[in-house]
Amino acid sequence: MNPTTFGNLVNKFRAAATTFQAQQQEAPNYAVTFAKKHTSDSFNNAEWDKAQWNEPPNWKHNQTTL
Amino acid sequence: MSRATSKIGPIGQVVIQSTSLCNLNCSYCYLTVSERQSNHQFPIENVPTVFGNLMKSDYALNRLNILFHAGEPLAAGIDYYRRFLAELDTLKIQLGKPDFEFEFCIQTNATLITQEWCDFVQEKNIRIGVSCDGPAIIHDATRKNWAGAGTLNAVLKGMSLLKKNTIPFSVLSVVSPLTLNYAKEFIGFFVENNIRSIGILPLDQLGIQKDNPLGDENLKRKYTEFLKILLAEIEKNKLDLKIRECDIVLEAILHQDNHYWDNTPLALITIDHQGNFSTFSPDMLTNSIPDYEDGNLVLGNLLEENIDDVIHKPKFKRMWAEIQGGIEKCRQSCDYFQVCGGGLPSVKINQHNTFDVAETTDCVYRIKLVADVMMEKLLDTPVGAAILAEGQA
Repeated sequence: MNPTTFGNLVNKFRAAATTFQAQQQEAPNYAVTFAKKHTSDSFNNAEWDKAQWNEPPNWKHNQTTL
Repeated sequence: MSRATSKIGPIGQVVIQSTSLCNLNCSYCYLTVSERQSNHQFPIENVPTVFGNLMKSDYALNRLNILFHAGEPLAAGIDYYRRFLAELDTLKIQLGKPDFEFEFCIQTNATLITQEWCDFVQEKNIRIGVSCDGPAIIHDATRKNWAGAGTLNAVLKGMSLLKKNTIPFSVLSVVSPLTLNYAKEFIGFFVENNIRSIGILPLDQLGIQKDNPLGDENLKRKYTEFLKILLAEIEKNKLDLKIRECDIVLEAILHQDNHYWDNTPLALITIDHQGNFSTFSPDMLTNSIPDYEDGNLVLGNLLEENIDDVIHKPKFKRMWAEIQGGIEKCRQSCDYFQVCGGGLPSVKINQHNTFDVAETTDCVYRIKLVADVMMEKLLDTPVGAAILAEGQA
């Protein structure tokens, strides 16, 4: 298995998500900014769940099975 | 049947064509000129039948997001929406569902926004999305009025009114090959106009042709470079500006598999002014597919039949089986499946005349190139460096 394939990297970043959000980095980085915003209540409530994307929040929950 | 592809509903969003009329003549519009010049309105008297149908569905939740789209919704006038929303309030009582929640959204070109519209939007708590392609050199090249003139100034007046009334809105921008030449001007435009969140939609012509479905490599490189410039500008100037496509991919990388509603039957239902409906991707209602079934992807009419009966129709069964087959191909063949969930059915059938395929150019531009740029950002961090070092050990 190639450890640097995209899919494997995704798995590693998910495993390290908490560490990633807590890391300190001086240089601005869009991904880090996103991760830090994601952990804040204000972001979760005001921006992500109710983001102005004309899409219903949490639509993927409560799905029924055929 | 696989886990991620075996679900139907719930009904999350209805995209409804309140009117086919549009005051603009954008060159890439998927509606015909004839449709956009005709004021075909969804009749208010049909609201109880169509929405009662949806609210009583076994796949309904106790809430529904209604997006007015496909034509310029504001062209129908404020009174139209007052009556539309009043009918829905009455319907809730009639159906014994007083707690049923509607959330309303309007996707508008913003050129018809007035103070009266702003008052109405605030009164009814309607969410607004504005279609704007950026600075004049880009926007006015394609988003013209019927006289052939650019429309950016009118859009800016509309956005200015929204801001004056502190009405939040997002912007959806179609990105064409022309846009790729003006990355700094593009991002600068949104900063200058204090826009905080933008969605970027790669235009079909971004290399997407049936005889060359994966586009050319030069265009892919330009798109990647375009994304990198946008992010670099955001980072350099510490801008509070979100790019939807980047955030969706980051969310999927860091937290959970993505799964677009386009791959879930009835999650999104699109209805035209006559009550005809389709599901999966919104544009499947208007797609013409000459070699497929009866030449289109319409699944019925909500004035005449129960929404729940659609799943028993042979046409739906064929579409759903093919879509599931396509998702499975994606799962087995694509390293980006976790951040995508199986591609968009409407693009698959447009490019391949079947849903039962994996990669399309949409996958490349909307997912893969964005994901590569985001992964580069993630790896350019201490955690990313540790992950890379671990992989090389």
